[in-house]
Amino acid sequence: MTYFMHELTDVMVEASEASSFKLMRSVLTDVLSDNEEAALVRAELISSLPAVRKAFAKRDREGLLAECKDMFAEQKEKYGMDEGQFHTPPGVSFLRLHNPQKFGDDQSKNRPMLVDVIKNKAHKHGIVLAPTGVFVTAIVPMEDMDDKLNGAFEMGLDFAPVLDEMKKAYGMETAVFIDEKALREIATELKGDVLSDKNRVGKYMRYYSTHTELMTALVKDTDVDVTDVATYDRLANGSTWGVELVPLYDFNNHQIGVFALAKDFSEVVGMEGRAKVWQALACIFSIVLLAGAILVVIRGVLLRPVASLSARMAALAAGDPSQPADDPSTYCQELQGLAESYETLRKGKLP
Amino acid sequence: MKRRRSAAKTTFVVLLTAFIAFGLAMFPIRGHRHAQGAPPAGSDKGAARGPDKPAAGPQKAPKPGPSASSSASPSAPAPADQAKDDAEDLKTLPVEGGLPVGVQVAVFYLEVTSLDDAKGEFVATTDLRMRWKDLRQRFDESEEPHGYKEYRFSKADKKLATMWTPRVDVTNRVDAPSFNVQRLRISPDGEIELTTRTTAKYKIAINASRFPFDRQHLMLDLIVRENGTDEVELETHHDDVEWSRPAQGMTIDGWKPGIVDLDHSEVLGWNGDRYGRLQAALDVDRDPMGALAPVFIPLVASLLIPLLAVWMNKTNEEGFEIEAFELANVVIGGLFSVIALSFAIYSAYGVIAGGDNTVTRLFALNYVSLACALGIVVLFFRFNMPRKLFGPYVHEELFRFVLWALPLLSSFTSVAFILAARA
Repeated sequence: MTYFMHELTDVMVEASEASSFKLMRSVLTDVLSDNEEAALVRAELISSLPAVRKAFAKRDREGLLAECKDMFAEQKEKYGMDEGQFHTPPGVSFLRLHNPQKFGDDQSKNRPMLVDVIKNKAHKHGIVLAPTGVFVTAIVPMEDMDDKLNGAFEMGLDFAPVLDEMKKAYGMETAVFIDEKALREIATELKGDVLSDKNRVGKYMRYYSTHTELMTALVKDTDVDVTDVATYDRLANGSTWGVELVPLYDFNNHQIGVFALAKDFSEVVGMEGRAKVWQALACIFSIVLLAGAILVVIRGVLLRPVASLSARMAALAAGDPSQPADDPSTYCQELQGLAESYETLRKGKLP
Repeated sequence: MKRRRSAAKTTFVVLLTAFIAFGLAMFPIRGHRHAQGAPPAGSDKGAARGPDKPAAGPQKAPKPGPSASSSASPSAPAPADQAKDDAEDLKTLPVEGGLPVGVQVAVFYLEVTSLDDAKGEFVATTDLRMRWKDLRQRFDESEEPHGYKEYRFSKADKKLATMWTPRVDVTNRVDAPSFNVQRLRISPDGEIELTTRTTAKYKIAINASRFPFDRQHLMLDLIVRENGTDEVELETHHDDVEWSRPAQGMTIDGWKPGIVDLDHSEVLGWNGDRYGRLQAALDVDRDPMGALAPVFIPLVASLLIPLLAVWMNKTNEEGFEIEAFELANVVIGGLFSVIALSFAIYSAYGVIAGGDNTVTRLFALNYVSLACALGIVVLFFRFNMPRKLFGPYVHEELFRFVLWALPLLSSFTSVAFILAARA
């Protein structure tokens, strides 16, 4: 019974953890999806503004910047939109709203998403590894005043505010790990100290983390190299954390990294531990009481009386009739006849 | 009749003349005051608030006088009034960046001087950092070589008095802080960073259910006052999390400091209002070895008393060798020693006196063991009940069973209590 209770507890805890992991994954998927949509909506809106279309069609960089500068600053300030860029075919940067001084570089070789949009005249959104980092990005085709394709516009949202919001809303710690090789090759304009040794975890670099100290303890070199969703529990800072590793795919379904999601499972694991302790105690109580009952009944009611009668019988056979049987009521029903027979024999031997 | 009517008429004329004379005498004085820039009586508030903040009601609207329109009309306040208006404006909620104003909060635990778990209080020196954006405070980058304006101590207090700051209360602080200084930094882009170093005593709820393996949360309970979540919201970003930690090498006697946890929630106000709340808590784990000698060794030792009362006796053909009253004395002595022990432990560790925890469970086990021992003394040793009911063989076997089962179950139960607390 204890074994089955133990198994049942395991199943319940595993089901609870699996449900939590599923919820964590759903939250991540939903939040990323919402942000992709937010980037897309903004990109569509800006690219459809007549003044913007006109300036872009005329290839008026100054006019375009003047038109978009304040708007982009506000988007960046309030909504974390970090990248805004106009491209001319086949993928040449025309204007970076986040860095207006830099333009003219051809990105068609390392930005397949951009090339796809220009080629197919259809918007795309997803996670991309860009020269300035990893972004939730949406790229929309740009059209001139005669509705002819003349480039593309993209908006990119940084991960950090998204993950911070997730932490605030759902209490989940998160970290993003990006393939070091890809990061070094593509993210050539990356700022900060992302590409430092302290952030190296296996073949990945910790790109962002809501709690670096904690996530360092929770995700090690040997854990992070996953190609499918992986879950495990790990003790950190005296608490058990449920960690879920979710492969991070770019828009082209190519794995570029791993998301690590962690939630404090101490309560569930503690309850599981306590349940098992009480079950083990109940088991020990049952064994002891059952053993006691068996010993008392078998030895006290059967074996000891039989041994006692046997000793008396042996003495009688040796010619000693001096030891009377115990009170018959102290024997069980089955032994009472034997005791009575012994007593008859003993009395017959008496002088 | 004629004379009486004439007297009344005279009185009326005199009163009317006096009234007109008083009116004529007073009129120029009011006009003079108004001309010098003073607000007209009854309209001082309306004038001070400036054109975008009209007076509350028509009864307080300025009364135009003969010279009022030339120098002190409400639509064109004097320079002094304008400066006052501007200063007042800086103290209003900064809405230019949109609402709600996000106030980033981080807490650094510099030192925890004491932690009294019996009273549920701790004394700590903390740095509370709040950051928000107020575009009205922007300035030209070239004005400051450091890249920001910095105000410390009294200068910070003076500057803060002239600008908007989020009113965030630490609700679990006991009494006034013994030390409180502030540092204010203003960046050219209008980002404000206010760091407050405070030494104070804080009240916390102690949960000792897992004593001595318990974890307590040295919490600062921050609540936004006056502004609801639609106006001011407390936030924590990645750098706030990194900043929120205990000082390197921090030690707390009998406790091991862990990480700082930042937990967001809301407090309900009137009419469905909600106010931002952030609980910053330094997790501290009790050193269980500290409670081993004074608490657990005496508790486990006292469990041996009832067992001794049972072990001391021996069966013989007539029943038992030792008289029941002698062993009952041992049990009663054990009862008093457990009571004395509970007084000693509960007075030293007040936090475990109430509620369900390992110590109260072990005390309960002690009392149950004593009750079992007393029951054995009375039923077995005094009245020989099993012998009378089931005969000598069952009696003997039952006693032999009790001799090993009682200590075994008692030991396992004690271990289970400790393991359950550890789980």
